[in-house]
Amino acid sequence: MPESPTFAQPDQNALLLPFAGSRREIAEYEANGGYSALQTALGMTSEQLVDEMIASNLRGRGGAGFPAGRKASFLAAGLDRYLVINGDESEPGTFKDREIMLRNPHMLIEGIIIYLWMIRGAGAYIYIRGEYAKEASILEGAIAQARAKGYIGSPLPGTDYVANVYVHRGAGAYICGEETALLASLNGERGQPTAKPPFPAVSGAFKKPTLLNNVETVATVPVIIGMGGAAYAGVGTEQSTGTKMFSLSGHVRNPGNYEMPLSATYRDLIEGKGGGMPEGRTLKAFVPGGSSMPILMPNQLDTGLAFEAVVAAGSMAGSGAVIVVDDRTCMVRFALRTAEFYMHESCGKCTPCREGTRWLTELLRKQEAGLGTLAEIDLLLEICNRVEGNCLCVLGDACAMPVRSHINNFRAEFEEHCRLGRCPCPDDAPMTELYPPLLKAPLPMVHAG
Amino acid sequence: MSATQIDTVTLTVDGREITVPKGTPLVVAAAEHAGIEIPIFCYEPRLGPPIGACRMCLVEIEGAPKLQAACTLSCGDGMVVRTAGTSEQAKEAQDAVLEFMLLNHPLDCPVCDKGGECPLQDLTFKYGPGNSRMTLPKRTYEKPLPISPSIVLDRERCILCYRCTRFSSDVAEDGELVARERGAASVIATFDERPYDGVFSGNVTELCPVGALLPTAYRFKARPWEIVNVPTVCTGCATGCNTWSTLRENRVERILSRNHAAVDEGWLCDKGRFARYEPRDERIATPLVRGVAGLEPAEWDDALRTMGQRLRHQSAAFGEGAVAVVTGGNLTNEEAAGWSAIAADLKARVASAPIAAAAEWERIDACLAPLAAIDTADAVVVIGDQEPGDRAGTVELRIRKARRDGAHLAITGPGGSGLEADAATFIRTHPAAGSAMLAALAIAVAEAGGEHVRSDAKPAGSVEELAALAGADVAQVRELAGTLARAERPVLIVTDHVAVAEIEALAWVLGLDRGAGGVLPLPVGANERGERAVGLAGGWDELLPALEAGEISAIVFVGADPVLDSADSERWQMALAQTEFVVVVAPFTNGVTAQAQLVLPLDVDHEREGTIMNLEGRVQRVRPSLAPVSGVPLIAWTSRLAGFLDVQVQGNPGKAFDQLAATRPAFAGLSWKGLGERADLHRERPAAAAPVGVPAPTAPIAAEPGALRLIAPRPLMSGAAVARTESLAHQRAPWVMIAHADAQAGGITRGDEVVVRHAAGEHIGTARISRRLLPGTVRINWSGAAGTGASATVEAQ
Amino acid sequence: MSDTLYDEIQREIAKYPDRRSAILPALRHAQEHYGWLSPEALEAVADGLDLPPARCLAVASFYDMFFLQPVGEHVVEVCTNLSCALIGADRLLREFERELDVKAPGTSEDGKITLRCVECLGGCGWGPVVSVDEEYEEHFKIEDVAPLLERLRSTSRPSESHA
Ligand SMILES: Cc1cc2nc3c(=O)[nH]c(=O)nc-3n(C[C@H](O)[C@H](O)[C@H](O)COP(=O)(O)O)c2cc1C
Ligand code: SF4
Ligand code: FES
Repeated sequence: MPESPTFAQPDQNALLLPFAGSRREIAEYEANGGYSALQTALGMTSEQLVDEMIASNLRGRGGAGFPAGRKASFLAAGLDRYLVINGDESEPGTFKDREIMLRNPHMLIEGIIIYLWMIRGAGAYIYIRGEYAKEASILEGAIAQARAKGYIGSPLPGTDYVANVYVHRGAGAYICGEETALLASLNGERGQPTAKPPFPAVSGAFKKPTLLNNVETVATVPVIIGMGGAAYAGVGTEQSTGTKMFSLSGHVRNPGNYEMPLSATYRDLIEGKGGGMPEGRTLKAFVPGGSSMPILMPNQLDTGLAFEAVVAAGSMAGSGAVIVVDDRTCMVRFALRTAEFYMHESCGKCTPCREGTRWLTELLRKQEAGLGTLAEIDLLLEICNRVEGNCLCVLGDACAMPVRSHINNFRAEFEEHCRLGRCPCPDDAPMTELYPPLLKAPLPMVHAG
Repeated sequence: MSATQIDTVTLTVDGREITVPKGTPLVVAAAEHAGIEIPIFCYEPRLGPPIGACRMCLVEIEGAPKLQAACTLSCGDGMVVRTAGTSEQAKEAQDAVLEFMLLNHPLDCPVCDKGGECPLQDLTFKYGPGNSRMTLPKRTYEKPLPISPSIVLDRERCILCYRCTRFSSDVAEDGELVARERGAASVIATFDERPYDGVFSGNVTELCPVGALLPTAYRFKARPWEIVNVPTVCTGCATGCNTWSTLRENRVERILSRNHAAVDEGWLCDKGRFARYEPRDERIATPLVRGVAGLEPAEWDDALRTMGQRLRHQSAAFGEGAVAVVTGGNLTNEEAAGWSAIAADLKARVASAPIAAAAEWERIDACLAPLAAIDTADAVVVIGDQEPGDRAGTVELRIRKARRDGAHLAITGPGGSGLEADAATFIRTHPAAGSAMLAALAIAVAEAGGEHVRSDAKPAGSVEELAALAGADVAQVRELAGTLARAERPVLIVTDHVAVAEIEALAWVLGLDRGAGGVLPLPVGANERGERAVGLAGGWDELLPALEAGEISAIVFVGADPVLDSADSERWQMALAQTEFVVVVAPFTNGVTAQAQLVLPLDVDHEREGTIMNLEGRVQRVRPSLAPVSGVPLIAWTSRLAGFLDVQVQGNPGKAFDQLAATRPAFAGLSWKGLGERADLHRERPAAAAPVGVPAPTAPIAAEPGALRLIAPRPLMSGAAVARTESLAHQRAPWVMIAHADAQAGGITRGDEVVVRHAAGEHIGTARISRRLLPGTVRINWSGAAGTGASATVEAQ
Repeated sequence: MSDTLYDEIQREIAKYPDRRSAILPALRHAQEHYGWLSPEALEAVADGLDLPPARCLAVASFYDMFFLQPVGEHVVEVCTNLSCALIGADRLLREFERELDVKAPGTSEDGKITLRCVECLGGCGWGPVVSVDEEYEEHFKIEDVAPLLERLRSTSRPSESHA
């Protein structure tokens, strides 16, 4: 299997991926201290494990930043409960969970087994996005190795508890990253979000109490159990502890994933790790946490990567996907491509999201073509307001928030499109043509055969 | 469950303080306790938990960071709620949602059949934006799209509230109507554009809050101000669902549910909704007397006088039992009472149900369960070859709901019925093995013992022997018996091929006469119970030998047709050919009219006035919307006929009913005036007597070597009205179900045209392959062809 | 063949406490067997899962990776979401369209190759990303288009029998 390109350089400060290359073989993982956190965990009670997680102050890495220890505490250990790992990773710009699964799959498996043991779960399902075919087979391989070593499928040493771990592949739907949609999808329904309550901790996978966490969150568990929650809390900021993976893409010299302590800043990431803008270009804006987050401006580069810092700057840390945009980029197109994505991925269940994302997209398409009006710019903002906060899940917000921020930060560009009746950007600007997937358009028939 | 201690919570809605039971959805609390309407589209509690999809019901909750859907939110103590009436933010959200909803909705209210009865139209008028800011082209679809011959879909009008698809997946559980694609491209669809194949499909036309799903028959038929809705009760089966019949210019254009929660929960089956005795001009409209040129019209008085004289003569000449009155369980109580009086006077034999066993069902009245008992059951066992829905339409929906609510559902039978897939227990048996199965269970329950269990079953054999007789797995039988023995509120539903003694035995050991559960046998006729209660009991099958032996010389069929509806069709035909005087009362010419000397018109559903008694013993009023085609109601001419015989028969339904109430115990305490539009269940449980013992059940019939055993219960979609309703053709299309193994051996695949041959003829249908049907059997949706158990062969055409 | 599929589906069902959960793997197996999710394929899934075929359609049509129309022997998917678009995915796609003489989404005249654009594939830092028969090709350059198509034209997709 060809190795995926450009893995980050080894970084001594890293906790998840401190090494170069990958450790897919269990022997190699164990030789570097792997599965020792599980041994520690087996000597602990469920309550002690939850307490350790609470002490670490780890915040979920899936996007919402919910304290992992608190979430774990909602689910008392008992029978007939499940652990589900969110490996759907489909927020544009995000590819960090993939690197964890590619390079350090056993760390995730070890975290899963510790968590399973903590809740005495009947099984764990890793919901991995369908496109990650290679990653899914790597995980299957890692599970097989762990099974051969007795970590999975037979009683854990000194206990009568058996951990069961399965890989469940998605099939191409961004919304299945949202936890209730993911669970609906896992339960064999269309992947549409469901109203809460009931919360997953009460009714989730197979309608049983379920603990659901992101891949990176669970992969961090062995780190925390290994070094102790308090020690982990010493890294990062008080409210955002530890290190986190950041996916850097767009117009930077060294795109890729970087594991950063949460006390670092966007400047450290973009200019430090990413090497700054390519030759001859300047920073126009950057997406701080996946395409659903309001965009930040160059003067906000010193914003901290910590959850609370990004909120203070008027956006959110989200999935940690940072997309860097240079000065030649048309922000109307950027807004349109963003809206198109959310329209395409809206599940269609609730009215404001289904209809609103489509309306926004169509109006933005007019704007991009220079056929829009100034009044429609305000209408766009109003539609954003009418979508945001009124939907069943936050996918609608994920469309409205960035679009609003693009208009508010670059209103002059929108107005110029209206005035000129065309896009003013040069021919060699990025994204000259837009190729969104059609709205579930059927593919043309194949001729014979 | 104790109903004494209900927790309540107190909250304020738009400044009004209300106290409601804990767990009440906020939409319901606001409407019912504070008198504040929160608009809704997707909320419909009968479809299961609320889904919060349409977002019409958004309200402001003090302390919550954003608006909340009032349908998915349960009332909490101290909650401060502001609806659009008092909250700017909620009002703005409501406007927003309506604007989004109308973005792609065509403004065709003037030509839409929903116009005037449309929640979307009403809400738009009440709350809606005056003009649309949508300047882009609206989404268009091909329309109208037939979802089935009975239902059309207009996708442009659809607001995607998912009521129809939730009905299909979560109530009927047929999974036929779904949403496909996603996002703004989502549409409601069936599989591969095939017709919605489910007997409850019509309910979606009532659930749809816009004009997207409409009954084909009602399209462009009427506007709301031109119609009259008559409250009545469906006489399609013994459930007795409450309905409105929508009348316009002397035609019943539409049947809607009238939601009597205890009976039908607001659902109807497609037979009740769509089947019509039409065309009216093919109906028998006058008395017909057989003359030289066949059946010829006759004057009423002549016909009735002749009939009276000849019946009296036969009875006088040949004595007791020379005359027979055969009904089909479909008369009103009052009509039946008239015929019962006439029969008694003529010392006639009577029969009202195809099989004799049904006549004895009164013996288990001590344990008879009301329909509502299914809702609260902790275990439901269905015994018999037939699907409950085939006998009693919407009862199936109740069984499914009980299972979803956590009841242990057990199905026993030869397999291939729709309920097995999600049942907790499926015990496969031979066909027609219900009696053996019940006996086996009775003894196994007695052996299992338990708090409620009486252990004095009188065994007819060991559990092993009886289970073997039924063809059932003993371990499964014992496990189910254990579940039943532990259950607090078990309900047994018996469809067919079961002897009463075995039901009695199982009910007795389970103590169903003292507990909260019960037994619910499903009759064939809509008013079989009522007919029995006025004295018309007995099985057709019991009359046949006497008829063949010439002991019966005059026979009257009132709404009964054994030539069409009995497995012994040919024997009936031959016997009738030799019977001196055959009278047939029927709506259309049918199997028995060919042999009749005298034919009289029979009133059907919407022409009748009277009462019927449903399967749980509830007496409900049937109200006419139309005059009978003959112009003379059956009950009136029955009274006239009685006059010629010097028998007293009341010709007025109201008076006839009050007479029944005064004379027949089953109607004691009731009055015509007191029945009301949604009748209560007045039924006293008689005390149970210990059963006589469990007689040894007979062994199921074995097939001839090389042949398959036929399973041919009568499907719901059968009968004169269904046969004449074009839009139901796809629902009665013949199919032939064979077991997977037999299909492989015979080289038959799903969808093949296959022919079933049996002693009584052959039958062609589309192949269905089942992995649960007992190999060596074949199930068809066609009764009367040959009895269940008969040998048959199946071959691809 | 349909018996193999049935057995595969039963093995998937065994991984879950509820057979419904096996619907995505079942659909994937069916797509591998039939090439696309034809009504026949969906009915085979329905049979294997003991669910109504319409439900299988409802689920299948929700996801981008299931084909409800026939596709070519090879499927080439170009990510055109933000990060890839910023670094040239649009030009790459244009080159694919030119080489294949087909507009995305579409299938080449010879029925060999289906081209379509997809949303973010999760390779944003290693873009532009092209997924070829579900295998990622990263840092994809315009010069890579012709050789890739050459290779695909000369090979059949292994292990699959297209019905
Ligand atoms: C539209 C949407 C998409 C999401 N996608 C993902 C995703 O791909 N991966 C993920 O881990 N969380 C995703 N989330 C967040 C999850 O709902 C959930 O909060 C998270 O998986 C919980 O894990 P954590 O507590 O470990 O962060 C998404 C949320 C929304 C609203
Ligand atoms: S949102 Fe609900 S009606 Fe709607 S969601 Fe509620 S009521 Fe619905
Ligand atoms: S934007 Fe192309 S892979 Fe993420």
